[in-house]
Amino acid sequence: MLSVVSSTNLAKSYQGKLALKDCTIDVPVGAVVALVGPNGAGKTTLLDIVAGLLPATFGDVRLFENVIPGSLESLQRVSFVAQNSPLYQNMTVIDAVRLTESLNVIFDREYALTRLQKLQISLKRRIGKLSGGQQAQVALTLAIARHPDLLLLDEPLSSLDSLARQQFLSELMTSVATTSMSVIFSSHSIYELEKVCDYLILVVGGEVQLCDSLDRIVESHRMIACAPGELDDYSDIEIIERKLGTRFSTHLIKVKNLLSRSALESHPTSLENIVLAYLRRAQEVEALNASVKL
Amino acid sequence: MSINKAARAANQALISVISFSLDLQSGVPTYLQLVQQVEAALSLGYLVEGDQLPTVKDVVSSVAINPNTVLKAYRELESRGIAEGRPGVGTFIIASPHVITSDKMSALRKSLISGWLREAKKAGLSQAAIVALFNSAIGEIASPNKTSKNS
Amino acid sequence: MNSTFHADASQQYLPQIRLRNVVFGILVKEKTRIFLMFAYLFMNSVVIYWLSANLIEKTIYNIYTNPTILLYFRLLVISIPLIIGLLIGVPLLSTEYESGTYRFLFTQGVGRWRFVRTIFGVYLVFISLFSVMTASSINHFFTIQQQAGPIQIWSFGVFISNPIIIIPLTLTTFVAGVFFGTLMQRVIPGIAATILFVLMLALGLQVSLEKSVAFFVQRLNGSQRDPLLAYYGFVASNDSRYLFRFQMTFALSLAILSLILALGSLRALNSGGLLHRKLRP
Repeated sequence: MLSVVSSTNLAKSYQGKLALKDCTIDVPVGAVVALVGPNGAGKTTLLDIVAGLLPATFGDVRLFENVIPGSLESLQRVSFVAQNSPLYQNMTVIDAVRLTESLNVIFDREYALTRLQKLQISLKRRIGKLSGGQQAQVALTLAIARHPDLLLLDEPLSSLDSLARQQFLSELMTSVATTSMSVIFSSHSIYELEKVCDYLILVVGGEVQLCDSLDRIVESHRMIACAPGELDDYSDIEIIERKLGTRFSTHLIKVKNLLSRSALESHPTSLENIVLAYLRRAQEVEALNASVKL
Repeated sequence: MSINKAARAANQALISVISFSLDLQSGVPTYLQLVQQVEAALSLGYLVEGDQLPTVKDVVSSVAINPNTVLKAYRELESRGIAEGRPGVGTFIIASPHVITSDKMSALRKSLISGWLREAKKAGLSQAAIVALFNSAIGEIASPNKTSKNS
Repeated sequence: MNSTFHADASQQYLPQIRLRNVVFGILVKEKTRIFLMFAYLFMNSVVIYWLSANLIEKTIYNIYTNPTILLYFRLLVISIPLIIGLLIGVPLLSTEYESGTYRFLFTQGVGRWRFVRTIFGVYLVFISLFSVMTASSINHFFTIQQQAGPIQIWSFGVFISNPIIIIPLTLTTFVAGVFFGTLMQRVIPGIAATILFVLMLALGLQVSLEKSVAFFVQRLNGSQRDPLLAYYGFVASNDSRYLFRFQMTFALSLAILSLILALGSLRALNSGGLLHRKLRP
């Protein structure tokens, strides 16, 4: 399986703080990846590194198997829409199109103009006068018009209302359907992501908790209700979360092989529950570390 | 049906005859919802043999879902013998609508009441518990990848 | 460019964007700033024309005797470069960092370094044009013969009394502005740093050239009590040619210095990894 982004033990520290530690990810070509995590988890840092805006402190990142982020080749094949779609507020839309066209080898002007017309965004309008949703659409259109092999989006939906969100995702999915583009977009909520994404990377506290396709995540996690000690015998099981009860405890486990033991009665659970369990676990670990420091 | 004929006569794209709507909360996987809606349209006569299903691009631009989900749904329709993908052309309906006769319906109803429902009542399940059990069982059938060996 | 082990022939050669395309993009992006710059030039020219046409006290020698106007012209020589350097040079890249648009700009296919040196080059051309036009517009109405009044003991005044000094001064403050603005990644600190740098530069030049300047100043004020006559004596003498040559040399060396500063500072920013730093998370 060819990978579009892969990193090994990636770490980034700045201003004395460790923003990312020991991140190992592998994203297959053509995936639509949800990069999920709470605010401050390191999602933006990770995207900045992949986009070539920041150098890594430690570890290796490779795009398209052997391209270094930030190199000329990666710049020509990767588009990045940063948070709040940074565009020049005093520039007109058509000028933004001209600017992007002149700074890139590949630019599909026809696509950009057609798309903007369909969205009823006037070309002569200044970008600052557009609504948040329209600005996001302009940024997305310009990014897609470059026909990137990899599209990176940092929290593209956070300032959009639900209609704008729907329109944004529609345009994105249409492009994914018609090209072989891979997409990574970050979000701090997992709602709506399930129908759009087929891959998930969960980052909490600078560490990668999950990095797998949605199907495999749901398949490899199950809920089990049993006595607290019963699971200790099984070596290929990792307990993610345990809710203690009086007679029995509910566990969320991760199994290394997909055939569960017959002795245990387990049932599948939703992706949302799985992600929440990981988030809670990471929160507990952080609270523990903080109290140890004190 | 008259609606159908008018649409076809006007040479409209089939997307106006069948447009998908999704229920995120239902717990039913997205691709399966698409499959069910095609089947429903078929049994209601909105779709007939030879009709072309909307392209992946069309579906995805109206309902923002992953294109792979649409592909998965169309593959499922193929495996159920309802549709057929023709490379370079599109996906087409190949089956005639599945007509469920009223005899068949009442026979199914009878076996449900006198069979499973009766046993469940005997076991002491409340109505709510029956509904919950039924929904979870339907969920199991809907997702064929589960490999749990439950009792 | 950085592909290593998969040495495919297609990867060795990456398509380059033509320079004229990048320049066109820069002109689209910067059209407001450049327009404002030349509007400022126009405004200055109008003021200069009005002053020279209306307030000249014509005597048989066609000179200005109003010290306020003299002061105004001398201040112009300092203020124009400062305004350009601080308002055009400093914000050039620092606004990109402040508003976050660097995330857009530096991820385009042209590449960070190529874009920065192209925009810098484009502006150098425009700044040169601007400063030459400003210097000549001042000079047109205010030639060296018409500078009347005592030349101040403040020796730097000797150098700024020839409008030609505007050219290298503007270039220097612009280059310094871009450098410090990019270094600090913020506009206000960049402005502060540039002002500091320019003051230190002026001070340094004054200190180092004091001896030579003192010579002229003495000659100007020494023999005559009447500063005006002293001045005319000076203008008629050989010393004025020396002064002019002095001013030209100063202007030229400052221009060369600023160009070296330009090349060196940008190189330093790029290879020192300073363009890759991020002060704000």
